Amino acid sequence: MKYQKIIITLTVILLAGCQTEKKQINTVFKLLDATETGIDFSNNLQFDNDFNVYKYRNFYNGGGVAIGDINNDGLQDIYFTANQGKNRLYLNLGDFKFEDISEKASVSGTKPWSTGVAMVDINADGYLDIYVCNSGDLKGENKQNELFINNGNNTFSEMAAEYNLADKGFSTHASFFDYDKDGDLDAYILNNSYQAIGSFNLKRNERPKRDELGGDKLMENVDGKFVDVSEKAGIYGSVIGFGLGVTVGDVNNDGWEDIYVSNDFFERDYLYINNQDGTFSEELEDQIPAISAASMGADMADINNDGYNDIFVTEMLPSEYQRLKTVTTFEDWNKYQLNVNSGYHHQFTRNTLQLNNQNRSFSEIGRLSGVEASDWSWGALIFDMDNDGLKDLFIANGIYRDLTNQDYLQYISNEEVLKSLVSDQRVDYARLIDIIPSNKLKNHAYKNLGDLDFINYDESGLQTESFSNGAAYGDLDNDGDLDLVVNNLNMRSFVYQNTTVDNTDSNYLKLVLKGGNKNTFAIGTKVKIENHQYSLENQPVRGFQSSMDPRPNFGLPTSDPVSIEVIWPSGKLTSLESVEVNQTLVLSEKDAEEISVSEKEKEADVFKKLDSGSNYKHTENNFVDFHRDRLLDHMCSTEGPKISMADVNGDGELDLFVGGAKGSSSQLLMGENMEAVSMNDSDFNKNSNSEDSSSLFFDADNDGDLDLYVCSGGVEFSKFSTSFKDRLYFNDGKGNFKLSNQNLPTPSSLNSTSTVLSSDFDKDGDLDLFVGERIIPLQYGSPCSGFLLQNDGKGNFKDITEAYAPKLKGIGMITDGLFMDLDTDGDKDLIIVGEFMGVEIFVNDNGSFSRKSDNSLSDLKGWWNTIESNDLDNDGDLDLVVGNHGLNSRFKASQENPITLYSNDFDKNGFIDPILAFRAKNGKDYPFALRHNLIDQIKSLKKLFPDYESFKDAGIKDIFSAEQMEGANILSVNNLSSVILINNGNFNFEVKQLPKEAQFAPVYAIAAKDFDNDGDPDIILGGNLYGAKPEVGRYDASYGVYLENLGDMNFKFHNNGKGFVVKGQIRDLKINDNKIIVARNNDSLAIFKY
Amino acid sequence: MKRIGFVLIFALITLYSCEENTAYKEQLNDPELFHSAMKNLTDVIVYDIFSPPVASRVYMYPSVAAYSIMQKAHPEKYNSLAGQLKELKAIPEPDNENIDLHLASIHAFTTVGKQLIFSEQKVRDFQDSTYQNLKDKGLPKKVYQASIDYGEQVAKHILDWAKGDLYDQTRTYSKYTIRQEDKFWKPTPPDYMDGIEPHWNKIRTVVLDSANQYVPVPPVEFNLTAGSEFQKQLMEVFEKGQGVDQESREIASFWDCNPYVSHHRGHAMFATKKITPGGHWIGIVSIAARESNNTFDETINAYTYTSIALFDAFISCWDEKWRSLVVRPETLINQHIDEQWAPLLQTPPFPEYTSGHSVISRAAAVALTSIYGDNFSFLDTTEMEYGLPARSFTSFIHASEEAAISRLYGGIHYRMAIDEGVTQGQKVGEFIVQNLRTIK
Repeated sequence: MKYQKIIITLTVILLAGCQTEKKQINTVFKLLDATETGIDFSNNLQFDNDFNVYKYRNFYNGGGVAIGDINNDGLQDIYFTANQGKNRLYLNLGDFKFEDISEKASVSGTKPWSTGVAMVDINADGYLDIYVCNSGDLKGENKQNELFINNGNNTFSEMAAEYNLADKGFSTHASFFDYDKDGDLDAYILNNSYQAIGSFNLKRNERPKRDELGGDKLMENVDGKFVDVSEKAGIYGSVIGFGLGVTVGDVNNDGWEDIYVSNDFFERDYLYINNQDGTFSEELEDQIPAISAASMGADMADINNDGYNDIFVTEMLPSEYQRLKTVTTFEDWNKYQLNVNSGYHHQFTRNTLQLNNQNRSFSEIGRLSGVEASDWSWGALIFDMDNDGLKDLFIANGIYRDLTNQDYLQYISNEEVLKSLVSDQRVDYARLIDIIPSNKLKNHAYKNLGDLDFINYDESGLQTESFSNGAAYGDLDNDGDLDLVVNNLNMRSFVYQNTTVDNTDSNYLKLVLKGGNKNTFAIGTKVKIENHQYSLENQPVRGFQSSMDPRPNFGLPTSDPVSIEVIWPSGKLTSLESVEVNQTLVLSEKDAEEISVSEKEKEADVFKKLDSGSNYKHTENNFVDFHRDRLLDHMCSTEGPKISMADVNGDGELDLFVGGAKGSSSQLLMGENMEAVSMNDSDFNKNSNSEDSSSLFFDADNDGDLDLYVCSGGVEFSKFSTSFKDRLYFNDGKGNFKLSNQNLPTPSSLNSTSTVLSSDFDKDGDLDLFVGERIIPLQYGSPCSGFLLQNDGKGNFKDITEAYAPKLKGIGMITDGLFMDLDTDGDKDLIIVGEFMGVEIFVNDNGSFSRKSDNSLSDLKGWWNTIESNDLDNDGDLDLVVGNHGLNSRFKASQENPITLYSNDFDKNGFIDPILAFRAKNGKDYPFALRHNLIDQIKSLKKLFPDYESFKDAGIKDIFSAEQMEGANILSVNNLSSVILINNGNFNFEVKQLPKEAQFAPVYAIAAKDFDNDGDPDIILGGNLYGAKPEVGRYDASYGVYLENLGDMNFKFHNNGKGFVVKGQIRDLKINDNKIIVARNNDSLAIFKY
Repeated sequence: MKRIGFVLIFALITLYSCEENTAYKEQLNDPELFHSAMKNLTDVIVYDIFSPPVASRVYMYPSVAAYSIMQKAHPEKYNSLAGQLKELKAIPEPDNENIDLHLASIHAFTTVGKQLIFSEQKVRDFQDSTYQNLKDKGLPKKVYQASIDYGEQVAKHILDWAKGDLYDQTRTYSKYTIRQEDKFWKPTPPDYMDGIEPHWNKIRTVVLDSANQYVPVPPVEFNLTAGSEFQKQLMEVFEKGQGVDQESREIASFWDCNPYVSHHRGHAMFATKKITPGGHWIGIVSIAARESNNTFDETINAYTYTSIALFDAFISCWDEKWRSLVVRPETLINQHIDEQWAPLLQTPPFPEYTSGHSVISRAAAVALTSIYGDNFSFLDTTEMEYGLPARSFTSFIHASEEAAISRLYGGIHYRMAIDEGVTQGQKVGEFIVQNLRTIK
């Protein structure tokens, strides 16, 4: 007994020893002790029956932090807001010592429930004043915001009413900036609605109606008095404005400040573009395709050093698997559609990182950058933590009670529990809340690696478990790196000292900006380091309820002198060359020059969109794959339209054939104008029930005109439906097509097909066909086959697969292919790609096709959509470009951590259950589906996993027994990026990932041609997929991709596509002469000239 | 040898001479035993949240299991259900004289029920405490074992029968895809839940020939023009559907029977659970059976008969709901009359026509009337557990009529769905009464 104890003690000591050792690794930030700093602030909360999270929904939103030098001694002071306690002001005494002077300074506030804070010099006396938002008093009148005017002697006088800033709304925050450029600071007051969420009917759009009691407000500063100009300026202020963040900055680089408002709950966010005339245009839906749903805090800064502000918004998607499985639900498809149709835009449960495309559009790349999930998040701050010139990302998170814990929700909904909580119509809220689990969360920090890559910044030292809300950065010790202060709920606030300058040989340049006129701190000033294209905009109000050190601080990788450019709010410019770094530079607007910034010379466009295109429009049928195939995340029914080109009537002009969705006829577009002619009497129309998924013009019957093979695809039919019959139409030479009565591709296969290719593989002088099967309806994942169809010369086709290419049977879910002579033996080999497939090569040997076994590309398993060939390196052989799912996705796959699809009839009810799983670091496969979604498919799992807790650690092997797994079809994916396969001859290919920007969305169409006329072929790509479940989010970040060939297989992405910019879901790209025809799902054709 | 024999005989005599504890027998004859088993099932149905049609299935199969065994105890009084219920074959004969058929009946009931619900432990707890209580009251081990074994056997028989009803298959049938035209049903506030059980008409009926045996007249033609019949009915819901007076509000709440009502407070949410419409009528059966001093077997008969009527009535009603796809009044009123309007009751997540409560209440009332007669007045205390006062009725039909009209007062149904629902329920009920003979 004693022995054991000793051993245990010893182990503990050993363990502890290890831990301390670990801690000694130098982290970027060092958490300072309150005893050292003197900052013992804690935002303590107590709830009771009358005031709690059920009565007041923002109960756990917490407080903010403001950093600024209130006594102009050069040291940044700190102000904390408290919800129930007193706000605190800590005077910086230097050397990280602070003194609480709140009471002496009369600045702790008299109103309950302070939220946001801004330090701003409102009266332009050179001293920072403090504006505090209050929003707690539920019934009473006691929630006016407070404005503490700095008396210049470390005391303050509350004068909100005098400035007309004593707003009575449930204010979250306020931002001060000069929107009308009249030289003084105006204010945007962010007010959260008081109305109960359950009381809203989504169909009723309240947005345009101004709320008398609250609502967001834009206040113009008119000679020191603030006047509400919201309506005139075009600012929404309704009862559905659940604003949690107001982020100001210039998003279109026109020198005028724009506004991003992040709204919680069902209301969408707002993006106000400054019209430069005192008004704003709200353009979010035009510019940003997808946003965070319950948006919380936000920040705006340049993450890729392209000189444009990007926007980051926090949400609540858990990053840890177990939490995801216990606290999260996602909206179902119908609810999502209802939201969209009711005017709330495309909102998703995840953080969003909106990359500024510099052309009035944004691409949401949070999933690509890996920053989409950081749990219940509040303050997000984009700043350079380690002075490497790249801005990193900090996210303060935590919710004091896990309000959405699914087991808790189920538990309290039980009769006996509810009865014990409710008596005489009175709810015992205290007890109701007491039983909610409370779990601290680690704050998140991400390091910016460049090229839009962010990784968990483990060495930042910021991942402390806490309930954190607002946060602010500032250089508290004036050493040239940014320190961080975090306001925590029911625990002491964090003061982190940044050790970068001490511990590394990094460099910095700090600026103190003296604004002219009444904007003394020069809010809105933009500073650029020309050498590195680093840029910062001086906007102290950021993140969540917080306000930053107003001195722009640049981290620099070298100590070389730099050139800087300062564009002041007035538009004046200060331009300095050979500025020594590692210093603090004081600049004044009054010294700046009145020079209009020269417009950067615009690069010449390669592409020009034609205004008048075709009169054709593709119409997608209303089919929701998820209503039938509940566990699938992506629709397979919206993969059209595809185009084929041929001169069908012999008039010398190319005509187009465009496939129709189910219920729409295929369409011929005739001649130069691509005019859609009537198909009413055509055989096409008679077969309009089929979904055309691919087509091919070829001379089937050797009569000199081009006949047409059309694949019938989609998933909207049941297995063996005649609508899956592929169609061969014979051309009478005048462009009239008559349906052949052959059963294609074979009488025995009536499944969805996706691709048809021709080649004379039996070398008898006519064109034979390859046809690929895409999917077996209701059996997603079941093996599909490719077919070789031999032509008898008259257009009669015979399935010879069994004899000549037996390995095509069951090869996979084929999406595309190519005939191409890979071994230069004079006959064409076959390459096919597909979903959950590698790039498969079938070697043609005298008309017999054998699957190449030692093909490394076969192991490159992807969700391939399309393949194209071109000699990209001008070495005489054809290289391949293959379009994949892309990297901007919740799905991540690699060799070590593949995605696996297990499909089987697990519950033996006659239906295949496709279970998608990912491999975790521990080597186990876990399902993507949440417990209730899995139960929705397989009812019996509800008994196996009676609650969420029991499910949260269950791997695939825990969910399904070995017996149930028997006979399962198992497929996997290990690469989701779109690639170039460089042909090195003799079946050898080098895999090269396409640039990051080409990975923003699934690629469905590829075209290669020398568009810029410089002698080498360039690439354009098209994609996007809107038919994705809300939990994975739609794929909409691509606007078409133009990749300029720079030689040596290097391709350059152009931000504005050199004119090739297309919205929508591109499904095909065809080049005719010098025109690019872009086919989009459920949309018109877009035509570009180059 | 002899000595040992003597000792044995002595011991036996001693045992017999002790007072035999037969209290268990009384217990097994007490109809309250069955009532408690049914109550346990209702509680679990509420706990697990089953939609009204699915709940009716969870009541029916266990009841049929219980009845089938009970019938073996009283063959002179009751007919077998085999041959009367679609595809139901005769249950195995009890082949052990130790079997107590009442205990076997309880065990079959709870075992089938346990399979159909999710929270098995709650049923297991009931079984354990019930059996322990019987054992404490002298239930001999061999009787216990034989009865449990037989109960298991019959439960398996009934579950095998249930497997053929397409319930498992319909779980993965397509969800309903929303159609945009105004006249078609759309999900409703506050949760905009997907439509429940669009394929319930595929479920095998037990007495009805088919789901569409009694197709109601088509709904009034959709027309929002002032003065049209449809518009008038819509306006009636608008005017009455928030409860015009105390009485109508009480009626609406009393018959709400919504198994899942959600409450939102910001990010915080909780739901309240209640019995389903079918569950309410099961409650009425218990009241009627007690009021009539029904024996154990009579009690099972009443429950079973009613549960069968409810089961087929739900299938008939759901067949029409997902055929006519009529939009809920709340959707139209918000869209065309008053954005702010909300019905007194939360609109349940499935199409409007016909009213489920109207159909199933009437079918159940007709079934109960065939057992207990007209003018059976009773005090309905079913909802007291859920905080609603008791209401008194002069007959089952009276109660069913109030249940029907309550949907108008609750703002969730047009009058047509109520009137035609009652008609539909009457037909279903009559057909069952004519074709299902339990009592000889």
